[in-house]
Amino acid sequence: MTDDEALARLLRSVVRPVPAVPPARDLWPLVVSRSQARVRWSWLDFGLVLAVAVALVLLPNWRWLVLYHL
Amino acid sequence: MSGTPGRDHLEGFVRGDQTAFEALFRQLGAEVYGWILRIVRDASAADDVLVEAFWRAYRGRARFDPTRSFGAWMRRIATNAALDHLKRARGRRDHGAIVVDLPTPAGPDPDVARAVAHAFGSLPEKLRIVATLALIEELPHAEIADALDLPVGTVKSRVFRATRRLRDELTRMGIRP
Repeated sequence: MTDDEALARLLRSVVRPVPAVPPARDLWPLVVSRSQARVRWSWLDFGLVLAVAVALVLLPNWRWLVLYHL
Repeated sequence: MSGTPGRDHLEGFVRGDQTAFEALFRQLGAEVYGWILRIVRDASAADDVLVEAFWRAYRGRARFDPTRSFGAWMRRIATNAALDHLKRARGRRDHGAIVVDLPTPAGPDPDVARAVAHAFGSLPEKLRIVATLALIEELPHAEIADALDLPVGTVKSRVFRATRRLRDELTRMGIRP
């Protein structure tokens, strides 16, 4: 046995391999509710929208720059 | 992944067909779960990551090419979701605590076990994930490379670096593996 193999074996004796087990419960309903959940706006999203709106009001010539990035 | 979903299901999934999506989940969910569990090493966390991974897949379904392997694509998404989970969990608990609910074989001396767990937990994230899959789970390098979207050479290099760092750390603690 090489030094690397001995180290790997020691590691496996402490941090054990995980047995292949299926989920303990049906997770499909959670996937469905997650995929159907409405996307919530964060404060950052509101802040960005507000910042863009203010910039467009104060600097109307920037509208082409904003449109380019949309 | 051993499951091979039908072309109809894959095309339906890309169109947003919920029935096709459920069929894919039923067919591959357990395998994806097993993969996630190997990375996060905690059943409760694996539940959350599985849901997150399939939600990400559904959200990004338009980018999936039905002529390619859904299993490989799903495994990459699951790997990224699992790594994101580990990043969030880092700092809240150490890796040693994660494995306590797993089956406990006869282990080495408690001091040595503690040192090994500490050395393993102190590996940088990108080395630890590769060490977990290659050294602990003994998965082929090609399979790890595919899941992590890395060249095989990079996986081999990371395994080498992880092994060297583990040995250096254990030697520093007076343990010669």
